This record gives sequence, C-alpha cells and structure tokens, in this order.
Amino acid sequence: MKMNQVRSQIQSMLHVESGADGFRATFKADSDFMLFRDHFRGRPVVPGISLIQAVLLAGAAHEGADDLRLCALKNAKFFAAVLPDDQVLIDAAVVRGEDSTVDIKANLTVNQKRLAQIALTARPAPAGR
Amino acid sequence: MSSDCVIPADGFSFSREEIAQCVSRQGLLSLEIELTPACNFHCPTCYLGDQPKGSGLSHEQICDAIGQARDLGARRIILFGGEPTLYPRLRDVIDFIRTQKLEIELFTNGGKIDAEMARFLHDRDVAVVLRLDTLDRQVQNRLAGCGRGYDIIHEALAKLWQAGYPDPARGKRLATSTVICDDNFDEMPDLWRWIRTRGMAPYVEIFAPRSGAPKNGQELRVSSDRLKRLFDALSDIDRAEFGRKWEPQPPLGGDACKRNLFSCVVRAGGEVFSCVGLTIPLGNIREQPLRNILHASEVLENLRNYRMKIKEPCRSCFKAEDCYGCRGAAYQLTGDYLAADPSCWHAAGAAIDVLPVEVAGLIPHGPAIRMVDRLAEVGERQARTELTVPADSPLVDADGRLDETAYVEMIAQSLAACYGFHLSRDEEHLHAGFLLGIKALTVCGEVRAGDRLQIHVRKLARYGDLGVAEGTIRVCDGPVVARGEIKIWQSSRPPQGE
Repeated sequence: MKMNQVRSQIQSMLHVESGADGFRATFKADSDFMLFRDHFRGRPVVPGISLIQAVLLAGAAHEGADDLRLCALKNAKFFAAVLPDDQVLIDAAVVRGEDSTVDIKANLTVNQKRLAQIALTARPAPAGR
Repeated sequence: MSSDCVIPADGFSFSREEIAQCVSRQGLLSLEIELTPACNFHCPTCYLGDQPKGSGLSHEQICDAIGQARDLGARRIILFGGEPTLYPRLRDVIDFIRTQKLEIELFTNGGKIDAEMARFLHDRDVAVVLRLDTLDRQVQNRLAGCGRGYDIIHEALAKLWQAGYPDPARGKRLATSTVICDDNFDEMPDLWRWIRTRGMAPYVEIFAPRSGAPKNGQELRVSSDRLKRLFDALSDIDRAEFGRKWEPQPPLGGDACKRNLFSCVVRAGGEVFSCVGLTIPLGNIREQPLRNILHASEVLENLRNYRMKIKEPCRSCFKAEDCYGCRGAAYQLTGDYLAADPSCWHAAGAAIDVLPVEVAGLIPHGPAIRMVDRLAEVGERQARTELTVPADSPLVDADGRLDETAYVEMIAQSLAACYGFHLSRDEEHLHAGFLLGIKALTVCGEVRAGDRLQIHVRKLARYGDLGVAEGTIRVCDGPVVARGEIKIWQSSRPPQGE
C-alpha cells in the first residue's frame, strides 16, 4: 500500500507510543508541510483534516496496520488553530469492534491547551495495495 | 394569466416610505397568490413554466394565507394564475378578501370574464389587469399560444368597459399587462398611446427568458440597447402627450420594481417565492407559517440588504437608491439573484458572472487543498458545488483513491464558496473561515481520481458568524459517498482592535 503524499508527510512528522488501551502521539508540522502554502497563503494553519489524518495514522501504528481508512467521524471539535511548529499531543483511547473496525477517541492539546477532540471509526486499509 | 410580474404602476404601487417601513419590520405590503396553475393560454413568455406537482391549495388554505399576509401588514392581495378566472371559487376568494378590508388586484387574460363577471368585479372594486400584448390579432394569438387569444382578450375588455371600467376616481381601476418581446417591440409606442387614451394604466415589463426551460423564449428576448431606446420613447410620450414624468429604468415602463422588498408569491401548491421571476423556493405554507418563511429566508435578507449585497455594476449605479433592476431577470439569466440585471442598459458591456463559476477566487484555499471546482447553484440557505477529483492531488494515493477526510473539506469549502459568492470586491480579501466541528459524518463509498462529484450543502442554523450546515456528497448521477454536518465560523469583517 502506498499512502497519499499528505499522509506520508504527516506520518514522517508523527511519533507514536502505544499503550494497553490506546496511544499517545506527538505531531509537529514544520514549515515544510505541503499544505501550508495553500492553507492559507501567507497565514499557514494546519487543516482540520490533517489532524484527523494524524489520529488515523497514529491509530494505524497502534493497531499494527499500514494505515486506517475513515468510516465515520462521529464528532470532532476544533478549539484553536494549529500553526507551523506547534507540538500537538494526541492522547487516544482505542476500542476494537467486532467487525474489524476500531473506535478512537482522541484529545489533542498544544502546550497543555485544549486543541481538539476527535471521535471516529476506522478500518485497517487492505495490506499490499 | 401568469406570464409576468404583477405589481403595476399608476396608482398600483407603494411609496418609498411605505416600502422602507415594510423592510424594517420584515413584513408585507402585498401578497401575490396563484389560485390555479391551469391556464387557457400557453404564452411563450410565461415565467411560471412547469406546473407544480400535487394538488393545489384548498379554498381554506388560500384564505388562511391571505389572513397571514394581512397579519404581516399586507394591504393588497394580487390574484393570478394560471388563469385565475378558471378557479371555481374565485368569487368566494374575492368576497373573503373584502371582508379582510384588503385591496384586490386580478391579473387575467379575460378567460371567463363575461358581462356578469365584469359587473361582479366592478361592484367589488377589484382592480383588473388584463393581458394585452399587441393590437395585432395574429401576433396576440401567437403570444397567447392560443388561436382565440385576441378574441378572448378583446371580448373581456369590452365587457369590462360596459361594466364601468376604468373609473379610478371611484376605485374601478383597469390596467393592461404587456410583456415586451421581439414580436411586439415595434408596436409598443402605439400600444402605449392606445392604452393611455382609454384611461387605462399600461403595465409594461421586459421579458426575460427562463433558465433551463426547453422552450425558454430566448428568441423573443430584446437587447438592452433596443430596450433603452424604447423606454426613452415611452417616457417622452408620457411627458409630451399625457403630462406624466418618469425616469426610464428596467424592468417596468413608468415605474420601479422593488417588489422583493414588500411582496411575495404563493403558488398554487403552497410554495413561496420572492417574485414570479425569482424561482428559488423559500418554503411552503403547507409546512410552516408564512411569517416563519419570510423571516428565516436568507434570500429575502440579502434582498432587503440589497445596497450592500447586490453586485456591480448595479451596486454603484447612479439609480441604485431607487432601482435594483429586475431580480427575476438577473436570476433567470445568471443563476444569481444578486447579480447585476443583464437586461438593463446601464449594465451593458459589464462582465457579469453567470453560474456555474470557478471557486478559485471565492475561497481562500489554494490548489493543493482545494476540494471544490465550481459553484453551480445558490438557493435558499443551500448551494451545490462540483468537483472533478484531480489525479495529481496530494490527497489522492498511488491507486487513485481520494482520502476520505477530504469529504470534510468538500462540505466546508462549498459553504465557503457560497459565502464568498455573496461578498463584494471590497470584502473578498477579508474572507476568513475556520472549521469548528464535524458531526455524524458517514463515509458510504470510495472516490477515485477523475470522478465527478456534486456537493450539496444546506444551512441548518446561523448565529452571527457561526453556522451549522449539512452536506451530501455524491458521484454525478451516482450514489451518495458521504454525508455529515459541520460547524463553521466565517467572516468578512475587518479585524477588531490593533
């Protein structure tokens, strides 16, 4: 499986520590992040979907999968903008479903300030694609 | 008689002060109600086009709508169709309106006006507006789409005259309704004189083809420079021969049309529109009270605020205080009810956007994350956009599969495009937005590079700069691939403070 360019770059900016019931990850988008130029020109902000992608990629690492595909976004709340070089801390609980799905509830913070809450359901991407 | 807009000049219109007060209270001065979509004519200039599906409003529902309009401040009820004289309970409706102490206007082609009906209308002070496109029999029959069109109109006119029309001093007003098109263009000055010399009011308006209709009458359209010459000529005739002074401006001869500020249309199926030309449904009186529909309408809010919202060159036109062109023509010809009126000679030569438009200039997102190509439709608190998924997008993988998280951007950017579309040049550079939340986004299918998508967004609520909207994404002519709700903040105001 070869993931898209944005996910590949986010993965390279992500560090994941797996725990028994979840994971803790850090994500820092430096000024080279490919979406900054267009989101937005002259005032770069990490897109909300890239935070979701970071949660999915960290979840994949936790599950030992190459990647996770989004099935449903139950709820996501964004409280502040993430700027270049902000160190985002992701604390997540993971519950495996019976149908090979995983439910992830993640709290995202920057410098202990609440940044976002994301609750989603995902499915491991088929291997070898 | 349904071919045209229905608030004529010469004592039929409202004052500037009355309209301003009506705007401030978000009320009505008049209600236009379609009693029946059935018509004995088949006019190629008819705005209304397709008949609404389902059964028409009952007599009780019609009376209830009239009562609601009265409660909103309406003083005048305008009955139209189809052909309203074909409505079996027309007399009951007229008698009900009189009990409400409201003025009545009847737009008709004369279909069922015999001597007895003419007396009935005369006795009840009904202002009659009779269709009359031309004095030429063949042309009239063609413009009526009816082999007896000319005879029906002139027989009705004779009966109305016999009954005592026109006698405006005693409240017996009679006007004629004419749509200017290529077929009757050369005759207009003579027809104008003919109407005036008989004591009737000429209600003359510009024809605008209907968008999307297979027979939209495009061949009948008259260019704006010809219209200017005609309106100038009619104004000169009125000044020199009838002592009436008025400034020529579209869409009405002898008057301005700002009906969207004080009137609305209820069609036979209960659908509510701002006017007959602006065919964006605002709601349905079968489902909610008229007051709620009018107060919740974003279309009406934008029109009430037209000095800020209308686009160039209408916006900075020297007549902008008293005129915003024809909103129906603007919508039919561009898909944008806030566009400059393309039929107006003051806008001649100006670049006027016509939907669909590219979104690149409407949203702040650059190419790498842009997930919408075109804004295709803008309606009442809703919009539709389109996207062809680019193979070179960094959100598309080597197998050509689009990242599912992109669906969130599609919905958010569709809303942003809709918002940006209504911004003026001065506001565009201040357009900023922030995604605040996502709820119940369900992914139902996979999208690949080259797929053509349609994104439909509908605004559910708004609190100042905050808005909640639902979005549905589907492959063109195919299944839904995702749907969900988002919460978004958008603004075009300058930052506060330093």
